Amino acid sequence: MMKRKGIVAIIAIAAAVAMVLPCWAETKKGGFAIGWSNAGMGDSWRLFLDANFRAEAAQHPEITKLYVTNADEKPEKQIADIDDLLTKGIDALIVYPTVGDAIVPAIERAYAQGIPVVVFGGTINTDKYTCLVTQDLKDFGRAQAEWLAKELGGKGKIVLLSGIAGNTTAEDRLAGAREALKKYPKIEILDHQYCDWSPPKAKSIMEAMIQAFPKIDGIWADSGLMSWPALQALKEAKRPLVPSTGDQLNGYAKFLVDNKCRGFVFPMTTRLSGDALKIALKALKGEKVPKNYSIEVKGLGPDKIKEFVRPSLSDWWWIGDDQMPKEFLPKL
Amino acid sequence: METRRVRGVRKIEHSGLIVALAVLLAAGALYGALGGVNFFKVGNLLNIARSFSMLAIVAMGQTVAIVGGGLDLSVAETISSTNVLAAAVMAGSDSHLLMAILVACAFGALVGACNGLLVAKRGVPPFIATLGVATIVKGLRLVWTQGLPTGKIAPSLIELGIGSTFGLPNLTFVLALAALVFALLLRRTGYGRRLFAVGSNPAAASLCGLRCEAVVIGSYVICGLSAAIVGLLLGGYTGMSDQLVGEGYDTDSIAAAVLGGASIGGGSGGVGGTLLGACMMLVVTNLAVLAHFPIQSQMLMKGLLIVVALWIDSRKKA
Repeated sequence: MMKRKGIVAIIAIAAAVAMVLPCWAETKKGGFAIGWSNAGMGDSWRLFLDANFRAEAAQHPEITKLYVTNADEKPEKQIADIDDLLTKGIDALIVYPTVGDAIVPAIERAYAQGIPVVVFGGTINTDKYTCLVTQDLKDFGRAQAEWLAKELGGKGKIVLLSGIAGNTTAEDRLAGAREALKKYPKIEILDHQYCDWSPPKAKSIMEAMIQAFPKIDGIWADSGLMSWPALQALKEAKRPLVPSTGDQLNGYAKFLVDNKCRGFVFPMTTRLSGDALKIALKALKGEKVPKNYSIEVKGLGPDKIKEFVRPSLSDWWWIGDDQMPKEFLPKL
Repeated sequence: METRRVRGVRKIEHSGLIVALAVLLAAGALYGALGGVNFFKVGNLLNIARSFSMLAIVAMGQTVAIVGGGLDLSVAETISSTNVLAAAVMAGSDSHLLMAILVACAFGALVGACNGLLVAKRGVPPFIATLGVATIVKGLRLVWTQGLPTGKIAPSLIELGIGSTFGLPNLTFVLALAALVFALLLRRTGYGRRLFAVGSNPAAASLCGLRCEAVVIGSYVICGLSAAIVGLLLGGYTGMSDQLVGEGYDTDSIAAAVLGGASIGGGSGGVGGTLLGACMMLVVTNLAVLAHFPIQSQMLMKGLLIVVALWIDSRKKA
């Protein structure tokens, strides 16, 4: 019996430590206290988002307290996180929202307290916020498609590979691409398939497309997670490695450089977090900030890809997003 | 008498599946004849064979869990985790490949043992036990990699994943070996007989002196091992380590097993049926891509397949 109680106590202590750990605080005296309620940390893109946030924060001596919470993608945890941050007396709240409308009341509560509330990385179904920082996802798909069409000299047969059907990010990127391709009547879209941002799925779908179409001149994919395996499929089928598009995934960039094929990277930028922080500070200092702020992002052509690729680092590194002091970069 | 009747039912089901598959293939042939893409092109068949091999191996593991009266929802996370873990161990070098395989298999077996212990010793319903373990496996992976998998797949594993021998994809040889092992295990070993006994009537099996708990734990360990092997093979196929590579294998493997005649609730199922079931799932998807069906109708077809499989399953029980 005693033994069992001991075990229960250890588990309880471990759970408490695990809960407290993510909400570490860096305390200094005076100045602003900033709270960031992050939705989750499940992938390498989020790691870079976090790194960019901390790198930006380090440039502002006026920030004296920095609280970061992680909701593990659970809206109910994020509501508690936000309330917790408000109790700590933060001067500005920055939110990367979890999916859905559940956290709207928490955000509205924060806004009602009169502190700047900056939301980024998603959309939120209320107007009770100071600024919404986003990346234009139609522009994302548009820029990729424009590059591909120009690369092919305005004519050729291409295939489109998208993320998850019905997912806003995937659908916006696709809509942008289709809109841009309308200007190039001689570009023929052979097929469009959703590959769920899954490399094995993209590879098997591309294999089927290779069987279906004797000639494919280009690949528009909204992510390197799909253009990379699609190029592998072309290579294995001994077909020419055609121009392709993707995002700033290092594995995709490495493949392009190693195989000397031309591609275009349009970043899903992780600088969003840093810009959100900058805007929150501006608002705190009483400067005027726009209600909606769209971050400016530039694509990387073949030459830029060569410059930014990191051959010795993980395939899951995000090229171009690592322009920050070394100590903030995610650890390998 | 009883066994003869049950055998009869299984025969009809298989023939039903074969007829359905034949109809699909005929549709494929017709589409080709009418000027569409030829489904029966060698290249296309070999592509299907590779994806088929990987799904079939998990589905056979899943069949073992289902025959024993359970089901395993943790295979997808096990596949993803072994993929990332093995890639980290091998670090792109053939000399560490054996070690990586051993680590991956040990991990798969461990996950299976956890599932089995929860189900057999604690009486947790398989659905909940394996879902819980899946969440833990995923959580551990994310804590460990911090979202940044660093491993690299060894060249010989990539060769296994994408290369061919005697004109056939290497993966099909792995599948043939796995199918042989599973068929022998289910039909020719004492363990196989005990598994069917425990799955169809645990109380009776227990009264006959069978150690039901060990049998059930064993079935989950086998399922976990098959998931670990597929995690490795998927690494070879895509040439990368990916946090989410196993997504979808949980439902797909259960659907393949059930389509092939395995009955949720235990006591029936087999390698032949599961292979046919897996084949069916992949032929449908491939035909849909060849014929440029939009995603909505692909989902519909896959969903219909699963519903039909479960319908057959419930009719059989009634």
